[in-house]
Amino acid sequence: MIAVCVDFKSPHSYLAFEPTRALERRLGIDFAWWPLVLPALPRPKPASPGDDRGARHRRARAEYLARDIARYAEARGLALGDVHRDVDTTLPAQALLFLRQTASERAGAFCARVFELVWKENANPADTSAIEAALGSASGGFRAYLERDAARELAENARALAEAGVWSVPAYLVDGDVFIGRQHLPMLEWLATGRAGEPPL
Amino acid sequence: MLAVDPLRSDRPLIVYVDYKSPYAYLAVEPTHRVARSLGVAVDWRPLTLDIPSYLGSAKLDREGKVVEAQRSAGQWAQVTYAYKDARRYASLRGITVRGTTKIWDTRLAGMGMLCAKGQGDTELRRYSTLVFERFWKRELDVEDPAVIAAVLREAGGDAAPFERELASGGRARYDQLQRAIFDAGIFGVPGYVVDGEYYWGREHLPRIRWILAGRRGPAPDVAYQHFA
Repeated sequence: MIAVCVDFKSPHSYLAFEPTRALERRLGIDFAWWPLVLPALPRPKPASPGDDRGARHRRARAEYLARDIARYAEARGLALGDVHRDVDTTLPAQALLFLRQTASERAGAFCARVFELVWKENANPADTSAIEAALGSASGGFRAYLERDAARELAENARALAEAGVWSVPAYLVDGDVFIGRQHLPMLEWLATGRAGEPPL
Repeated sequence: MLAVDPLRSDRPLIVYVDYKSPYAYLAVEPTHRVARSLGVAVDWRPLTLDIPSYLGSAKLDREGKVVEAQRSAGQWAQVTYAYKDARRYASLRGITVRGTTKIWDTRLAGMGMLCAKGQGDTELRRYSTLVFERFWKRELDVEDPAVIAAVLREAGGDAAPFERELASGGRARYDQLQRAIFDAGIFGVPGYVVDGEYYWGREHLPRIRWILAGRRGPAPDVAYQHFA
């Protein structure tokens, strides 16, 4: 089983989504989709005369990451807009946990719809009606879940993922091993197909 | 010491490495493969990372127990993951990546790299191979000038230019070069510069190959992949 952890506001999660779904199709298996709500991609802080090396490093890295996301998005014809957007993805994360318990086979399609809401439609992912619409016919009982279990389960899920070594997204878990980033997809495929042929370098 | 433009070279591909980075070590062979397959010459350059400035610092004893640390839980998670990740890819290629007990100062090794580079591509490749292999087996004290000079000689080069550089204020010139590289926005290794654009990480090799080959067809995504 391959598990995939995503945060819907993460541009790296978004860029990984389609290639990950393509791998799912090639392997003919459903991955287990898990939510993880993390801080938004850090926005580069303006330069200031007192900046130390660490501050300058963080700014250079933040600027680089934005450029890097843009060039790979552009190559796929995606216009992402603000990659640092700090929207609250708690609700769709809770919905994904709910769906895992009620209709897990729809998790991939649900993720696709939520990524579309956030990255193509600039919709507010904290809007309950939008998330219920994304759940579609599987939304029955979601409001009760929100009132009863959602907050606790999301926190427990985050703790479990942290204990497993997941500190960023997208993260892939295979037999207890964590892989951060879509660059590992060839490795996941190589592992899932019996380590046939040359391994990725 | 060389005065260079961090983003320009007379070769089509610049690659920045630091011997204390396992990711830089892992990138060497696939980078050579990509360059060889395209008949492209690579301009290898040293970038000495200042790891504590962005990932905190720590010292471990010989058993791997932490004896001193200025790192947050998040920084520990990243560092722990990075070593594990590097090791699993290394093990598939028979490369040894042992844990380090401290953050090493690799400036001398970087100066040695520039010295080897000045003597030719063959000397540079031999020198880098020796330094990477032995450093990651914990068999090389990269902070000892005599050790670096010996590796230069073993690589078929002349250590005298390195020794002269050291004796004539070369460390300060090397630090100045490093500041220029950092000021150009190059902060991590392996760092690739192609067509004036900086890429951080060997996962960009598919795109770098695509650029060097004339940007034909759709641009590939990031991937750690096999290169023949």
